[in-house]
Amino acid sequence: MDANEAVVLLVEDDADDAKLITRALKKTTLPARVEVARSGGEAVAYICGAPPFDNRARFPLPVLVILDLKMPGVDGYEVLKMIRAGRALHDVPVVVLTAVRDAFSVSRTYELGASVYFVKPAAGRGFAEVVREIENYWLASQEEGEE
Amino acid sequence: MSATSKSEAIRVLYMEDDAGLARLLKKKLEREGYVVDVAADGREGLEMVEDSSYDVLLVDHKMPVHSGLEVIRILGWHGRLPPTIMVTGGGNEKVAVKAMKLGAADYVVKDAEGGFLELLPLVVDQVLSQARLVEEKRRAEEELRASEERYRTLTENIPVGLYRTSIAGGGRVISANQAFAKMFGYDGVGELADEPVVDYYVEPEDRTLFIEKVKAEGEVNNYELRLKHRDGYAFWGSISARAICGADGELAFLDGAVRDITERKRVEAELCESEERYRALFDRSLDWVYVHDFEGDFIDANAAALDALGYEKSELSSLNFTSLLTDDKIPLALETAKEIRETGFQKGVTEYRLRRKDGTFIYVETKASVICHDGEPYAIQGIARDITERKRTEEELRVTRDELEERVKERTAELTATLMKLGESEAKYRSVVEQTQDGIVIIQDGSVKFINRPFAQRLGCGPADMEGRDFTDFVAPSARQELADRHRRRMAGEDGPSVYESLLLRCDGHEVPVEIGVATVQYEGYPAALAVVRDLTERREQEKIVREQRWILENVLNNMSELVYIVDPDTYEVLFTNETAAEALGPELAGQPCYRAIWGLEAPCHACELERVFTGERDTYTREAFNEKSGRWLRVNAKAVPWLDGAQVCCAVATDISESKELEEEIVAHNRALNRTVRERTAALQGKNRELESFAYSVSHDLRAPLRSIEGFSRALLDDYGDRFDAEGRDFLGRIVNGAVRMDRLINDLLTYSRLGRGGVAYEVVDMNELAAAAVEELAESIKAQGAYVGVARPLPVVEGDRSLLLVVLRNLLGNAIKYRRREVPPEVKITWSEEPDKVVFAVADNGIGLDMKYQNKVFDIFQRLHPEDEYPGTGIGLASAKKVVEAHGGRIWYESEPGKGATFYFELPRKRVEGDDGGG
Repeated sequence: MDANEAVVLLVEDDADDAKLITRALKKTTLPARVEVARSGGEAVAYICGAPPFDNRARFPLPVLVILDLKMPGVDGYEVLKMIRAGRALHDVPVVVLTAVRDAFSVSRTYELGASVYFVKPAAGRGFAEVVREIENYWLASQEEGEE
Repeated sequence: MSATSKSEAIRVLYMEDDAGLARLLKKKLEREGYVVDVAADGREGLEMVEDSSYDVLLVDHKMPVHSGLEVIRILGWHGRLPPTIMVTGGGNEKVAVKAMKLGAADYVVKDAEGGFLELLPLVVDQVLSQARLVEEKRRAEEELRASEERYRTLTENIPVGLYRTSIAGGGRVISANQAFAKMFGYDGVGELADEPVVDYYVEPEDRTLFIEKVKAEGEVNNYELRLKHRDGYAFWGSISARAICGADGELAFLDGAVRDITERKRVEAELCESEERYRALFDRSLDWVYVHDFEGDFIDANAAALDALGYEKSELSSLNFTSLLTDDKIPLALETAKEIRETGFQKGVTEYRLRRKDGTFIYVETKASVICHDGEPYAIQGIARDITERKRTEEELRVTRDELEERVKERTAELTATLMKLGESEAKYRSVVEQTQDGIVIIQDGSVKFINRPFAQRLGCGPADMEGRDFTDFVAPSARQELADRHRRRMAGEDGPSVYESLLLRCDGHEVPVEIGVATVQYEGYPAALAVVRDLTERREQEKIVREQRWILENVLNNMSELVYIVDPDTYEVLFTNETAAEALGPELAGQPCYRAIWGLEAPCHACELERVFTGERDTYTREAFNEKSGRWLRVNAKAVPWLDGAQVCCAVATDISESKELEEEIVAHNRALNRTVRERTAALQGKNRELESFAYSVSHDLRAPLRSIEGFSRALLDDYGDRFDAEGRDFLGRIVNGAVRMDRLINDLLTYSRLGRGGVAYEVVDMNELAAAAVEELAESIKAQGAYVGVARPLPVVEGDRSLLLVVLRNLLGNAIKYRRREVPPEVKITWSEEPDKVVFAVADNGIGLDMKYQNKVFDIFQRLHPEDEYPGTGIGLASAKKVVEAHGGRIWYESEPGKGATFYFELPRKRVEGDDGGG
């Protein structure tokens, strides 16, 4: 485990979706290591470095967050608020990937500081496409960062 | 000795045939101042004498044609011989003598020396003066004669009796003229001698007195006394006489003149009487009579004038009319006085405002004229009338004068017209009498003397049958006695009613009610009754009808269930109520104010309808109110109606609406409950909808997640481990993926379908061209893939509807048209439309596979498909969605098709909005 290894934090409560998204991510140039938080609460613990994620060396802060909104307990909005509140992850790209698609949620998400909003694909399309979009966005933001 | 002045130049005519001598003589005489004409011979001389007059003729004897002697003779015959001097040759004295015998005045002898020339003027002079003397003498004699004549005529013809009488005894007439004799009735003076003078006096003493007077005064003039005519009657005479005394100085004779002054006396008496009358008039006249001089000073005024002005008679003399006048009128008065003085009378009348003694003013109207004394105007007399009162009313009159004038004009016109009519002949008059509908009857001595034809006919007879008969024959038995009495009394001169009703009898026995107007007239010299008879049958009929109508009306009024009452809008007084009102509100309502009588209030109602009705805001005014007095709810309809005298009153009809009021209240309460229920239900429904929405949402959301898994992992299997499966295995996995995909689509469509229209139809103006373009845009991929053509024949219209919902319809119909293509034919889709008065019908026509008409209903059901999924993909929700949307707009959707020949799907959208759930969800 390399402390300098870039981590993508995937916050997703649905196990199947998590597996499928992870699989799709592997096929991109996005950082290979994907940490999955199975709930909002877990996500918050990771970001705060609370146990079991208190070893920062083992669990470094992510360079990209992929965030679902609809989660039991602490939902995606909370997590997003928390991410943007702290200094550490203030500028980190947060990609919201959710089945929710209504205008209100979208605008609220952006208000809270999400970087980009993607809708989970309907059955028959697979995550490959949307993940490719995420890759594009990531690459673009990297370029911006370098400039 | 020479001639006189030029104006009296003596004219001389010298007849001399010796021209030279003539000239000489002429010169000589002219030097002496005579005017001389020369005639060459006797004839010329005669002619010249004929033409003009000469004072002197100088005639030569020896002349041609006529000698001088002849000339003298001729002229002498004609009496035209002026003073003539014969001029003769010497030694011809005989001629001269002859000439003188013939009338010449003198002669001159022509001596050879011409000395006669010197003589001639002298002779002429002499002759002339002689002639003059003769002339004068003649004239004097003439005058004397004339004077004698005149004197005689005078004394004989003078109407004054002249006389000389003696004194002694009774006196005797010594001499008298004809007039004297005539005066006393004698034919001539000769008859007078015997009568003693005293007998000419009516009173013998008068003579004695008269003589005394003459003796005393020597001369008495105009002594008036009564004298006796020969025939015995007395007459008035006026005597003037002078005393003639004898040698002894005693009175011997009376010379005098006596005048018959009877006429004069009579005139004087008349004058006196007239003066009396005048005086009486003057004094007693109510009008003022006054006399003033030309300066305006009053001379006399009658009692009326003095009284009116407040002056005493004694003050009159110091009064001048200018002191009575107001200053502005003084010039006019003086002007008028001048006019009267000059013309003798005043033109028209003058009005003055006079000041009475006490300072008050009166108005008078005056007219004056001049009065003369001995033919000379000496004063102005006037008559004045007090017009103060008149002046006062003049103003009032002026106001009504025009009115009156108008009326007079009208009346005059009427009158003129009437007069003109009347002025027509008797035949026309008769025709009026004969054509009037009223009967005109003349009854004298109880029998019918005249009856006009129309009325006779009305009684069923001819006039001839009726005239002469007893009038009571035509009077109904019940009325006979009364009319006979009336007639008798009328003929006796008694007063009685002149208009009255009665009953007549027709010849056929029917009775006729009539109205009779009677007057007493003179008919053919004797009193008679003139009756104008009016048949009242019709009137009775009318009265009967009116009575019936009234009875009906009263019946209706009093039996109707509504209250009717009439109110005076000014006094609120109730003028009339029907029985229904009386029953409901109590008796004795009339006369009370309506607010008390009807409503039991002490002051007018707040919402008083009277004002509204009468300010003309509306024709009728309706008010519903609870009436305390009757305990009922009333609906009052008030309306302005004309009343008996033409003024407007308020007529109110009040209906008892107590029952309907209760009903109303029930309905209101019911409605309220209903509304409440509706609100509750709607709220509940809305709640349910929301529930449903979130339910559907979460269901679909939750249902789709596992599908993602199924599909995702199956695909992953295929991708990552596909090579470990055989074809069949791979096929199975594929089917699993398909199944998941299909399910996801179904759920999605179901969600969409259920959402459709839940938000209601948001009506807006939708341009269907733009919408079609949007739908085509959405289907771009499949259009391209299928090589389809979508077109519009003519621009689509604009409609009212929900844009997003209508897009669903177009998308689905266009999508189907492209999808259900014939393999061998590229799809061609045409959108058309047509218009109907209340809707627009759109048609989407394709050239695809078409379908049987028997599936009209089935095809629009949800999830109903006519083809397997692998041939034509789809969930079977498209048409159901379209139908849902179209029907939500109030329209219809249907199709026409033949299998293999394409299909045309129609949908209509009504022009007007559908009344439905318009918002709020």
